[in-house]
Amino acid sequence: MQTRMIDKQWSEKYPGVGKGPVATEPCISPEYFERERELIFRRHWLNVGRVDEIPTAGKYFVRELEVCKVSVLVVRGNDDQVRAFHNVCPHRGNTLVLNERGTCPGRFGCGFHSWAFTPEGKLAFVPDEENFFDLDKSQYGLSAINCEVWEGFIFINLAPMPKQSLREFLGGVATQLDNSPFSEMKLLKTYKVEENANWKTGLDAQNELYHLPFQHRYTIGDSFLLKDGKYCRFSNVNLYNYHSVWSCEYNPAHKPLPTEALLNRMDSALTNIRFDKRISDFDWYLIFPNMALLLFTGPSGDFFMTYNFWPLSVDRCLWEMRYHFPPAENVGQRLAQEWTIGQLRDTLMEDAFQHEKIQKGLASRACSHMVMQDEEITIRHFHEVLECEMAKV
Amino acid sequence: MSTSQLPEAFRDLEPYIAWSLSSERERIAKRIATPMDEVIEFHGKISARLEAIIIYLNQYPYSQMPEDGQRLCDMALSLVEISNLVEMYKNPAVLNMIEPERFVPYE
Repeated sequence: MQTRMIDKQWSEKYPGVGKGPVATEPCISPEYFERERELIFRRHWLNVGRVDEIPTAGKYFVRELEVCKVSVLVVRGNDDQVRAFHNVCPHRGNTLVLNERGTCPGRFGCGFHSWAFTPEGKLAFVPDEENFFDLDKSQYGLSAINCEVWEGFIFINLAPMPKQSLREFLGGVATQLDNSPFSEMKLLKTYKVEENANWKTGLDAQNELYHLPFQHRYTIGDSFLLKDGKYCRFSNVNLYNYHSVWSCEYNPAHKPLPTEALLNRMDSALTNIRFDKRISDFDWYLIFPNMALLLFTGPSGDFFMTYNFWPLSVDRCLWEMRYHFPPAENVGQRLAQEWTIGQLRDTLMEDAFQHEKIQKGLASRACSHMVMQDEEITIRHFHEVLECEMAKV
Repeated sequence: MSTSQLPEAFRDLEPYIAWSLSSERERIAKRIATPMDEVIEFHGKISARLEAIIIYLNQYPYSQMPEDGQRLCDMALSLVEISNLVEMYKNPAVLNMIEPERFVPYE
């Protein structure tokens, strides 16, 4: 056991992080939300997907970033490079691609006047071109959005000139997880839920285990190591410039359910894909501002999840959850994966319910601040980073 | 009966063929629409055969399953879908969860 069940160890490790109350206003203030659009979501690298969603030339997907009122077209060019563009025809501003995903049939054609663009974003054809006035087609390619890829995760940045590369921004997270076998795992399942909650209300509620034995007592309350059989404790916390990770160990005293026990016993595969750089059984990374990356160990291979919390308004967000597993070799492995997905899904459905109840409580302004203990240090850290970024005008 | 939809060794599970559903959305809809006593009966019959089902189906690579084997696999996926209801929640509706229709799976 690597977990030390001692009190207040994380604030001792990171004495620079505060211990006082955290304001609730950022989760309920419309004015704060308007500033977040500019200062957070238009200035930082945002994860919009993975390269395996667009494995071959011409494949694309579209993400609607409502918080920035931007539609992003992410496409793999014939040169194999992944690029992001505003999903807008530069002729008269029409929305270019209407499908959520697909394969570019050679050209992206605008539905308005049939201007046509290559998967690399160049303007290739203009109907009745001779009737324009000195039209320089090289000036009217799709408007590019900064796009960089780390370990298969696609990030975009809406700032005209990002102040850091993606690599610099990820910092210690990238160092920790470079060369991990993410690409050997495939997207198996996605869940999406529109919540009546501020995006941070959802993210904060996920960013700790203190609640686990209580809110999830019917589902996964005993899955992780407990102090005195009662309280969850992290085995490690690392804080980075913008990001953080907490880790925990599975509970050896966990009592598996009958189907769970059988499936664990029958879960076998020849390949055994592992994250060598896992810190503990379960690592939960917050990648600022709105992404979480979760690494799990499983009986016949590791797996990972991502969360993306997309703000829709001050009190609404879209929570996307994606599960990536090693491709199942046999039914035993597939059923075990499905059981794990379902178990976590039910827990996340409890969370989604809770997020809305928390938002309702915060919106009532009954409390002006939140009180947090040592196992909630990564939430504190996130709010400190947020405040710091919001202060940069 | 020559029209069996399941592999020979699992024809006794034929009465539960309606649980052989290929998508999670369909399995959730079936779970919600089925009375709890029927869910418990399905759970009892299939979970008693689950180990045999896995051993039988593991002879095939997952991506090369014959049709009758795929139907049996889809039935086992339905067992996975409802197992917590019977083994943990003891209730068709879990307390304090968001409405299932708002929590949408994509496969």
